[in-house]
Amino acid sequence: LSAACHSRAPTYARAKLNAHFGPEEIMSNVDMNRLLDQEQAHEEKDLHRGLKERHVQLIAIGGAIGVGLFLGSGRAISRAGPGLMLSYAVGGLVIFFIMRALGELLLHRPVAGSFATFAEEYVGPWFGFATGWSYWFMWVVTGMAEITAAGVYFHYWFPDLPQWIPALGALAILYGVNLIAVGLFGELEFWFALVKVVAIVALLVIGLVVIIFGVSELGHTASFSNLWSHGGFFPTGVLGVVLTLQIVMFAYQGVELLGVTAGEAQNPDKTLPKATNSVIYRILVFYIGALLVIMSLVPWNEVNPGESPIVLVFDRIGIPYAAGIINFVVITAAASSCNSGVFSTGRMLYTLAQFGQAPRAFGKVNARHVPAMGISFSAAIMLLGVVLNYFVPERVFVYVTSVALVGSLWTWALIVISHLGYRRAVAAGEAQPVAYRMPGSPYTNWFVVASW
Amino acid sequence: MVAVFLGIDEGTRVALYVAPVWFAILGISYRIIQTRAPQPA
Repeated sequence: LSAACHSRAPTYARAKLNAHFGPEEIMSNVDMNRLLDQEQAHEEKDLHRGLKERHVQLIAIGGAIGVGLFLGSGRAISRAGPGLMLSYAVGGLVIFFIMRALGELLLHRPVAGSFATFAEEYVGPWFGFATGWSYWFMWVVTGMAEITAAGVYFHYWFPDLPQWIPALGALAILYGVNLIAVGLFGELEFWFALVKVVAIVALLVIGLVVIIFGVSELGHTASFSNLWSHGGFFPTGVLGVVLTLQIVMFAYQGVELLGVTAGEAQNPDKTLPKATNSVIYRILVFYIGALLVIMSLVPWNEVNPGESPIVLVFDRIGIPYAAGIINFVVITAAASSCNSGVFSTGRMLYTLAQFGQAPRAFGKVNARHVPAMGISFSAAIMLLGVVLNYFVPERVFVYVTSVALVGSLWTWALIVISHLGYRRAVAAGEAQPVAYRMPGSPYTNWFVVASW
Repeated sequence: MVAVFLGIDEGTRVALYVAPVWFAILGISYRIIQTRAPQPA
């Protein structure tokens, strides 16, 4: 066991214990769990559990609703028609299993490094290293794209304002907020998520009133039968539905952010299971519910791929300033994503530094218990996004965000593979079991891996 | 499956080219870190 533990031991912990006891001592007395328990205790002193339950709940919701639902769903609807709901349901099921696996691992060890730590512990040190850096890369790239997007959306109100000014302003504000305290990040994320939730709930309520009571001009044609009376439920065939899977998975990017909050969440034993368990209901209500209402209000073949379907239905219902309202919601969604990016990249660098897999300076926290160096470095890289606004065409960002999806797929796959390792460790008596368990494991783990 | 579909769309296909490069960079970096880290006897 000691040999196995030694080979799996984190580099930083190994180096630290070398300094204290010498390598001989490590070989005979120290096991992997003890090393990681020490790391966890070290993190408890460094970081501050400043995220309240309402923060964590809304971060879980906000992570599940991105810009993709407000803008990108037009393209997906035009490709798959009402069958898109099936695509979201299948993708949502995969995400549900990932989140349940993550929830179980988080209850076992609620640390900021989350999946990077789990990969290190249960798959191998290289996988921990690759997961931490890939996740960092994914959020840095997403942050670049989102601040650029925020600049583009500001053009709606200020057409003469150079695009880089709102992009720089947004990044500067979010950087400042993240440096002050984790509670302030949580507070900002709470309000960003609330704006998105209110927009979707408004769509659902107003849309259902129009469909059921036939109010407004759209009320004459709005009907649930629009879902099957324009070429059937699968108008572009099963292939059309299957081909939207990558768009769907793009939309779910960021849902795993909840894991990174674990190290700073108050009462993680209560908060995290509640938040992870409710992901499936949120996907059903916010994604499938919203699509059901949109395609009942307006037949799928009237949706323009380049246009927001939510703006289209609000316009047709007769809601004034519909485009302006959704533009505001999309700016908050972009800012929320960038805020999450600044937060999570700082924490990931902090964890990588703890394991000796990033410069040690990133492992230090400021007087407010925030990993300031990691945040500053990540924000500086995101700043390149502002610079790129000058020099590269918009298409480059499509490519860059596609690359970010690979980081997400890798992270999600490593979560369920780490979970398999955790279950094996529990069976061997090397790890403590937790009450919150992933259903159907190990079959559901392999189902998730196969879907990639 | 999703990885296969990334190859179908022109915009997302680039991810399949960049991913091996990214993981190769990670592999090399990890090797360098390992050789520099204090090694237990």
